[in-house]
Amino acid sequence: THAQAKTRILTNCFWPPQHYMCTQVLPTWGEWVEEATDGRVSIQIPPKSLASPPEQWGSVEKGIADAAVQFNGFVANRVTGPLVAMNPFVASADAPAMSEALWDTYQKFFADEYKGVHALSMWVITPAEVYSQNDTPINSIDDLKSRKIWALPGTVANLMKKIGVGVVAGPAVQANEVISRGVVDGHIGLSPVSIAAFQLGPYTKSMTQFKTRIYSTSFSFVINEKKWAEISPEDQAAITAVSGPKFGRMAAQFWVNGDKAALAKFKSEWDIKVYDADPAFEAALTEASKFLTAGWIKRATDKGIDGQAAYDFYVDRVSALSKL
Amino acid sequence: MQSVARAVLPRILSVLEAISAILLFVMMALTFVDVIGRYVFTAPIFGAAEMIQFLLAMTIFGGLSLINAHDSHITVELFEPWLKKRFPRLQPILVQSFSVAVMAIIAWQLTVFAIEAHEIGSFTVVLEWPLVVVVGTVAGLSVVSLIVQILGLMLQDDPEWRGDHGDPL
Amino acid sequence: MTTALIGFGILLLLCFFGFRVGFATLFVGLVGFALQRGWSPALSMTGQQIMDDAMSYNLSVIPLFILMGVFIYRADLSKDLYTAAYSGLGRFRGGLALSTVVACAGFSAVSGSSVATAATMTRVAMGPMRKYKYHDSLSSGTIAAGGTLGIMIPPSVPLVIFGIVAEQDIGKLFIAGVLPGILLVALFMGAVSVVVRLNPEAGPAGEPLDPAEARRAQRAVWPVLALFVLVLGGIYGKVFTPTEASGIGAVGAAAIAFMRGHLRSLPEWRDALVEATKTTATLFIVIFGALVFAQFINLSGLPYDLVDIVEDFELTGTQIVIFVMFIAILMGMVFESIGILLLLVPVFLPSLFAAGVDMIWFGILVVLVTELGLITPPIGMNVFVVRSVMPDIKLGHIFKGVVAFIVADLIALGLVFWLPEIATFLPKLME
Ligand code: NA
Ligand code: NA
Repeated sequence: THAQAKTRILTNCFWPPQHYMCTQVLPTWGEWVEEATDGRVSIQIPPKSLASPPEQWGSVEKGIADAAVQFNGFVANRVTGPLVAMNPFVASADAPAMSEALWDTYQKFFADEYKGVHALSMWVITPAEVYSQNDTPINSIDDLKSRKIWALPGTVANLMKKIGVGVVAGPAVQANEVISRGVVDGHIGLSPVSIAAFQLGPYTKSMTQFKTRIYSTSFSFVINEKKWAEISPEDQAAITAVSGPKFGRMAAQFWVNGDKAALAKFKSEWDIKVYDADPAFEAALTEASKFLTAGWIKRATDKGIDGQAAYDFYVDRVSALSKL
Repeated sequence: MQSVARAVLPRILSVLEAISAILLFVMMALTFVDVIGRYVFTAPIFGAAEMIQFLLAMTIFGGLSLINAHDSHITVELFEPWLKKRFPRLQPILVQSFSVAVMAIIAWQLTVFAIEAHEIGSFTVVLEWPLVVVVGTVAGLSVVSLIVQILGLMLQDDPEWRGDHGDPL
Repeated sequence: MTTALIGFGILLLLCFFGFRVGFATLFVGLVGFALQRGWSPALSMTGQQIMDDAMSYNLSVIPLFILMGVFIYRADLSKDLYTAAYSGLGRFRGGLALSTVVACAGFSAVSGSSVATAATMTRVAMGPMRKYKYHDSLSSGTIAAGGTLGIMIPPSVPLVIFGIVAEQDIGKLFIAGVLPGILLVALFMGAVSVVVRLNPEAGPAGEPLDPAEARRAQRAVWPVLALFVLVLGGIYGKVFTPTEASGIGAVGAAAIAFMRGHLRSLPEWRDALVEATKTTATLFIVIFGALVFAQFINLSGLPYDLVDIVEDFELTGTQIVIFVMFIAILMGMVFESIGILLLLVPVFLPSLFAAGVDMIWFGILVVLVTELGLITPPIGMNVFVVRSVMPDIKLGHIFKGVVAFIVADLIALGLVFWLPEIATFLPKLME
């Protein structure tokens, strides 16, 4: 079998080299691929990212890397479909379920949107929550309005601006700089695992959880079209079988495990209280966020996607698949 | 040709000096005002960090033209003196044409990058400005750096021009 | 692995024959990448890489700390710092050289560049040392070596660059540089003492200073100390980011210069800002080149081959560090400081991570080695700087005078190596 031509997929990982995406998720996928193709296709992950996070898709398109993971928020000008999972109040704590739901929605509604690259998989990470930095938990619109809030740019920041909250927005990796210095008294947009990863535990007093979560983040795993065409149909099928929802669930599970570990630390190390959101608060915020959903549906429809149907389908799939 | 370069280059450079000086000053002032605003008035400047990023890129390429014009780049002077003695004409021409060629690649690729940013219609993450405005300016400055470098190369035998600048310190 | 080594070989050749370091590095990186991925991807990668790095928030500390150094340079502080140090140390044997070391340390505390430190101190300290008949080799050697403190005592541009390349917290690296900086000052003073003990004629004692003059000079020390405490304290207490600290440092330095009668006209401002911009650009073109080259190395497989070697031979973290230090000392003989950091660190990063090496500690070690490189022959940047200000001194004399300080540097390297706490103690307190 060694005589056979070998294809090697140069797979980029933009997270820091020690992150589980680079040390476990992508290497596991590599093992699956190698096994499924009897060693005809293997992967190589460079020790350092070949491009900055916003440029992952572009770098695959240009052949700098063969495959890479793209945070969909950075490519809103290229694709609209996968942002269905980043609408307000469609998220569940069951990230693997959301990932499968997104893949199903992709296949049914927006498969044509991926041009220049071939979509290998998609996944959604564990949802963002609302955090208070002082002793009063945030559990009403008025609680929010009385504070200055750090928010993830995009959905969450726009929602906060809409209801009149003072917002400091910035990339997640710079959250620590703002939050640790007492510039704000609350923050929205991070899941518990990110609280731990960005060392925000000591600056956070309580977390408020909605029944349907306020927001989550989705990623696309894409491969260069020409590279994909180099692979024989037989091997393509084998790779597809270990990608799609199988890969998406596997990746998402790492965030679920991370959240579990972080929540344990909420109790044992940082004494962060966890509250369930008042249903009136959740209803009011859901209502206030309708304009964002309408905006997404319009953008999707403009792109030739049946926006309303895709949105409903995703929401139904998430609730059907969710076990958490 | 040389006389044209001799007449034009100092003027271009003094404009570029003024631009770079202003950019760096704004960068310093913005950083300072943002911190003061945050602590004294609890009013940080929205998107200050992102603005600083853009200013950095512009400052670098503004400054690069000043460096390119006089070819005051970092070198390792190990065999260079020996080579210069043996090939007094060839060595500088070779070295500087090489610099120009690489600089041309940089300017070309940054321009391509700017055009793509325009075609895709990317926006900056926090301020949501059109990305092409920022990267287009940077690409433009890199093209100017290249032009100035070529003009400087044309004048490299001109003793008056070479005496124009002192010790790079 | 072979590809990468050939790439390094060609790069060294190009640099040795006088091709500009930044352009040569970028070119070799581009071609190396193209040979593995094709020309079109290699060109796109180059454009992307340059644009990303030019717009990196973390890298914005570099121009601002450079600007801070330029303002401080123009504030004409070095004379007063020197006089203040002299008022305490001048009467001892070798006192003028001791004062030079201390004044260099003071200047380093508010300037991120070793070249500026060496240049300004040459102008200030050479005159008095000649007046007291100090041997030129001791005085020039002291200044060349004292200048290297500029990059160990924070703020430090090389520490920033290490932080970027190794993805380490720049604030922690600065704090980590404080104790090794103090250690170096002590060792350099020790080196002076040993030289004058062996050869008392090389550095006689000076005369006591007029008390009024001493007090006047000492007053100049306070703003410097205040600015250092503000910048470092702010970083240490997480009051501001290193970038913000650099902005505050630059404004503070401008204020000091203004109070001392400088920066009072538009042309003065313009000159200072233009000078900082030029230094920034010279550095960044090397940074761009090195980061493109690093992407070629990234694909070449060399970093993982090294990981395999480390695992096959069951090398410990310490052994890898010794190996890297050895190469860095060799490279330091011909390359200036930034080149070593940018070319060497990316290659060994995965092996160092795999071996669990503390990267803050490693960063301090690497910067110590690059300091050494600034004074080792044949290319010693600081030696050249002293020489360019004092053209009548023979290069050989300066290199001779630097020997005692090379020994001191090696002792410092050994001490930080065996007692990593010297570097890691303060940053651990930050957590
Ligand atoms: Na310093
Ligand atoms: Na050297």
